Amino acid sequence: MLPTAGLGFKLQHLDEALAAKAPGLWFEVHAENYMVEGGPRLAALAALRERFPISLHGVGLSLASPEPPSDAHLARLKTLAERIEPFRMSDHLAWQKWEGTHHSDFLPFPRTAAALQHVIDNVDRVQTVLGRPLLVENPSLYIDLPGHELSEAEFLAALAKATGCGLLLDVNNLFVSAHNLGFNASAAMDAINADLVQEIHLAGHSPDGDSSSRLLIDSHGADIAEPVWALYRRFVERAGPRPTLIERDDDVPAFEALMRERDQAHDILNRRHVLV
Amino acid sequence: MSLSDPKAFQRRFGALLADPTAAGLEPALVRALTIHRNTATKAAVDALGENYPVVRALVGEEPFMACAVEYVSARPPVDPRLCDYGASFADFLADYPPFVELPYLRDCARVERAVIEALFAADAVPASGSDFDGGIDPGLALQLHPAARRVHCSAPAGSIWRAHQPDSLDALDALAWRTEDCLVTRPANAVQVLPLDPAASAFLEAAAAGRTIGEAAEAGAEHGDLAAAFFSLLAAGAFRRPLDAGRFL
Repeated sequence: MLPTAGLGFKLQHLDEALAAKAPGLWFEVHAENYMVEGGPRLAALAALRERFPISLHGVGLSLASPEPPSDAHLARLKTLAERIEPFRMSDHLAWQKWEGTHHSDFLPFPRTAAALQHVIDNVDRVQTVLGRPLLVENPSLYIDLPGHELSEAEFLAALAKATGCGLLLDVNNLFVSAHNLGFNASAAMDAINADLVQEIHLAGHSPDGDSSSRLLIDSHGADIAEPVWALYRRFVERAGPRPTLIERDDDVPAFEALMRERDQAHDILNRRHVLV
Repeated sequence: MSLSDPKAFQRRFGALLADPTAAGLEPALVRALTIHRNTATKAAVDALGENYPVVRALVGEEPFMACAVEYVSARPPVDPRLCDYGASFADFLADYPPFVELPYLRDCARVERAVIEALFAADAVPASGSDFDGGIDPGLALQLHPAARRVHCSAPAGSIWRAHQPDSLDALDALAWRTEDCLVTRPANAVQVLPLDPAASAFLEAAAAGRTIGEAAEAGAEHGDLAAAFFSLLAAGAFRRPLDAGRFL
């Protein structure tokens, strides 16, 4: 069966994952966690790859930096891709590099024509080195920066048109951004060209720990919220099914609990096979 | 904050991230900067905690977290591979005032760093006793397995590490407090830490320096039973399997 709904893979779930028999199941890993030379971690991923389609999700390309991704990092990503033969590869519309340090979060920027050109150059560079298409994910936003010349949907559509990359629609990020910046999530989602979307992410969010703040945080540390499910159903009704990932990175529950959310997404998708 | 040039924007935003409470910023921007800073700090602190579970257990959760936040601030990640973060943590601990009464922590962190390096090292077939069934060529220089690390400690840090493993039979209160050399290896694809006797340690040190088996044996024999030492190193997967003509699998 073609990939329907998948799970972010956790090493502690290896035995259960290898034994799982759910139709359409696939797994995604953060590519950086497997950029190692050998050992049990790579062996686990290789064993998983024997049974399931794998997606490599990057958290380190810093696509919105004015500088290109580092050659060493790209070479490691290429080596991993050749080992695993992923069915999807992705990273974020954000930046992380700053004066030699790596900021492990997805930082915002004014979506200007100049910024678009940097991202186009970087995505071109990544796709040329990898010889594979990249999917670019919409990030969670916490501040309405001044100076935008393009909406997020316009920016991503222009990026896809210029580079041939696809989009990874993170429905939770879109919901969190809409809540935090005060725009309408449904309208923003409807503005996305569905033909470009080749993967969907679903995750949980949390209220900001600061009591005076009304922001939501993209924590990946809670169950998927009902309004996010509703947005997801809305997209699938409009666009048809896409491989959909349940992301959970904090307060990770038992494998069966993650599989219940996975099965819920599978049920929403399974009226039609997902086209790879 | 209006900066249409991407480079100028990132310089400004990056500087503000370093100090979100700088005077004069609007509250919404301060909060967003703080969230981005907290998220990145949490990711790095979590990565450090995963890589140094024994140091964490030794000092306790809250003191470790406070120390980790200081470390992340002083030496933030420079690479997106956070699974490899914290290479300089042992050196940082040596100069971290709240733990000055725990000088053995630095050695424990050095052992844990060697464990991480061993975990991620390249695969290779280890030498075993049967590779030497036809005799041992004293002129052969053995190569260390990519996962093998020899760690010389002023404290019994390898034994402390072993006592903290979930299935450990070693008791912390039975520790002999002395210097300890240990071997970190990955036989059967699982990392282990083994305290070395003086003969094995001397042999391994010489072999790691590129000396031949004959030379390493001389170095080891001054300290004890060399045959036992050699076979204990083989059993631990310390060396690559030798092929003919000095090549290695």
